[in-house]
Amino acid sequence: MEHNEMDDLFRKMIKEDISELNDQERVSKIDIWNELDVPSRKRNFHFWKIAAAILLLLWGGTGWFFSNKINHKKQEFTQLQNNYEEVKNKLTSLEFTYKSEELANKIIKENLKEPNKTTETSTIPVIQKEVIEKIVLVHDTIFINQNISPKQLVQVVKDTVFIEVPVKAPFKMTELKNKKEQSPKYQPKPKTPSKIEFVFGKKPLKKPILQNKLIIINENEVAKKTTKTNSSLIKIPIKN
Amino acid sequence: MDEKQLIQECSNQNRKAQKLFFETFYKSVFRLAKRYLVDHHETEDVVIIVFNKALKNISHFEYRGEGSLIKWMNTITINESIKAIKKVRPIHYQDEIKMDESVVFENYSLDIEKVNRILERMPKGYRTVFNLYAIDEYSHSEIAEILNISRNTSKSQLLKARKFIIQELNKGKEYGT
Repeated sequence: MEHNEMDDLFRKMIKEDISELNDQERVSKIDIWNELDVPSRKRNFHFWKIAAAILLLLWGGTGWFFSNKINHKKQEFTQLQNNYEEVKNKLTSLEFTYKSEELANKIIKENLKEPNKTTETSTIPVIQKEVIEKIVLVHDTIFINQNISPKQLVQVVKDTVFIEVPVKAPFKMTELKNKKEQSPKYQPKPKTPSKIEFVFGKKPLKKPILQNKLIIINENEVAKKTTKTNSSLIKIPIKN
Repeated sequence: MDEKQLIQECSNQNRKAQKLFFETFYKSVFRLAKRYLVDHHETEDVVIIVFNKALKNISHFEYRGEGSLIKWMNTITINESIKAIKKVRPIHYQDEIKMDESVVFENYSLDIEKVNRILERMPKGYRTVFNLYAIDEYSHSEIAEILNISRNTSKSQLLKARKFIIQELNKGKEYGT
């Protein structure tokens, strides 16, 4: 075989070598690529891409947030609606109960009214307070006081019957200026006459003869009168 | 992406194109450099230089049809490999031999691993000339120019390389390898 044939054979074998990279070559490949100092274009800062990505993210996020919120609101609304329906039903039932109870109550009241009417008519009081006082009044000269002997009556307030002790109330209920006026029994002490005239041989002075008088006093009237002077307050019959 | 586009993109310093370029030519460049240098680390260094040079100067490359790019890459690799050989260990070429000496190449069973093994064992001077002439198809004049030797020296180195191969093949035949 000529030498050229040997060269050709070697060349052919080398050039047609299609064997895969062995491990050493594979490891070297990574190292070499990392070692390369190749000028590479600076990565363009695609602002618009980043902005679009951010906008998309924001949009997506907002959409997600609002959809969640809407769902939540829907749920709340449904719950509220259910609650409303429940309350409405309860209200209806309560209304019904109330009406029925009211009706029953009315019936009971009506039943109760009939016997009461009879009692009321019989027990309706004569709310009157009679005070009979006997006061000897000789103008402003001599007062002869007699004990008041008021008569008490029966007082009925509404449907309750009170049997009271003879009148004290009228005097208690008034606002008096001094203590003396507080007591209903109080009667002003007879003033000592400023002077006593003795007329001999003359006819006695004509004193006004006051007949017995029955005074019917309401509480208010008494109060009014008590605020005035005693002398003009009550007119009481005096027996001569 | 065809070669033209690849060149264009690499000229535009597109990182992806550069990666593709590296992936495409890594195997051939690495094996070519290894064939000259043998040493793995030296090969790695040369491959780095080759790719750096290629990617930096690719914008100056004139595409002349299919195969022109690989040829350009091979040229850079061979040049860089020889530079590395000269730099590390200067080649001492042995005495010239007579031109009429010929080598008889019998039929041997060969595979690529055996070929590579023989080339690895071959002295550097022989190997360089054999690679340039027999494998990469340089002429003796070109080899003389590249290696700064005479044409006869180139021829004698080639002859010795062939003898070495035959010796190696015969050794293998004797030991059954």
